[in-house]
Amino acid sequence: MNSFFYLERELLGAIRARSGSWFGVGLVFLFLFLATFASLFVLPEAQGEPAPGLVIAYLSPRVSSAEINDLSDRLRERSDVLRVRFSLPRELTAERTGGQLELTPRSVAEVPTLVRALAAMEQVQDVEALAAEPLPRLAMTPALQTGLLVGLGVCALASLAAVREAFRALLATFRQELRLARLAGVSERLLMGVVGLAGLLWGTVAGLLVVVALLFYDASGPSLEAWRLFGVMAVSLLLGILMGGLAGLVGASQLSSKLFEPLR
Amino acid sequence: MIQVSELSYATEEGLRVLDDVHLHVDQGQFVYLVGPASSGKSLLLALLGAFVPPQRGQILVHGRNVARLSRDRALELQRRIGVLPQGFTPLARTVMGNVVFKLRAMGNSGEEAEEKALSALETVGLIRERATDALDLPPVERLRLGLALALCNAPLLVLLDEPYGELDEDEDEAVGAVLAKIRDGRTTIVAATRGPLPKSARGERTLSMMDGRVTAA
Repeated sequence: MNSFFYLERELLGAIRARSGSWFGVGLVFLFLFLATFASLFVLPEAQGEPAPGLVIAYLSPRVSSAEINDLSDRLRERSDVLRVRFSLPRELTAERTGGQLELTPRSVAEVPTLVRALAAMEQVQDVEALAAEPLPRLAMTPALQTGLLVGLGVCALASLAAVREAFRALLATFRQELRLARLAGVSERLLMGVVGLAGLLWGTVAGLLVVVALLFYDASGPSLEAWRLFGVMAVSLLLGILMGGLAGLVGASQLSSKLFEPLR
Repeated sequence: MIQVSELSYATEEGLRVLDDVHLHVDQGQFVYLVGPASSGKSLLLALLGAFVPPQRGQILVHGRNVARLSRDRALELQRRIGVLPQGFTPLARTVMGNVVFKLRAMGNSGEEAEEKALSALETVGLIRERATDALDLPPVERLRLGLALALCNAPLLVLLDEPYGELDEDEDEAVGAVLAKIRDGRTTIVAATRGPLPKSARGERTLSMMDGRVTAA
């Protein structure tokens, strides 16, 4: 193991501008691949249009129960009203001392008409339209899902192509060391392991970057359930390691080149 | 000890590079294989070092039948063999760094590697240049470094391919003197060269190679 870690350190120390740039490009694509993968599970489902907020009609304290029931029934019959619910006001003010009717409009477009109609009723002292919760800025739509799946494939291929170039450049820099190691009886398995581990480390870095990005995403707005967040983090990290292993295999496969033969 | 019998080797195109080679080298002996380019010298060295599997014939190196060695056993044997490849190019490190790299790659600890590296550099007369960038060394010094790399792990067998490659007469003598110095009666040394041999090497056992056959000089 002593020679394994020594060779690993020496191999990583042989990263120069060219190989480093390719590793960087590959890392960006792998990060995008993993982030795209994670977004398939963390983005909220898209809703057709924003849900209308509640319209609250504050009733006069002089309105009797029978009148409230009658008013409720009339409002339920309206085509622009989805639901009507009576409740006592949460906060009493000089104008708001009676009960209140909470109306759910069928759509946002019908809120102004409803507000005007309610304001015109004599049992109603005041009307308030509460704003609906805004739609999330980024939500999963079928088109976005298709785009992400295509992006997933493109990023995976691009990252592997970039890392292949990175290993080609790195091993070319390290070729004399590889020849000398082979001449000294260092096994093929060990050399392949050294190159494979370099790929694995690269994939792990990308996986960890995605974990950090997910933490930022969660902290910045849409709070995800803990199990979902940690599940997606764990799977993204594992996928990063897996892609790193694949990159390591791509790198190790280049060791069979004649360029690294000990006696040429 | 090296015992080669009925060794033949042909390329994929059917070109016979080695043809019924017989060779016996005692332990601790220094043998020069002298022959023109493409006479099969380098291939014979590669076969002796278990870097190329033999096709026909038998090669015994220190009691091990090279043809029947498993991959792990072949690697074990290679760890006991020091090789100076033809056209040796050092690593882009210091002289000391070159030798330490080989020894660390072979599993030596940092301290062991430095100790053995210093000893090998002392033997070949490069101790003063240990901190020099190996790529800045003149050809003769590079060759000394190649010898230090071949010798650093106390090998049983040393294979030298063209140790007098592109050197002038004086430099040949300097390398010849180093080779004479590393003869310790225990290490077997086989050196392949196109010749002529420097004066310091003329007393050594010399075999001729021509068209894939070995004959006594």
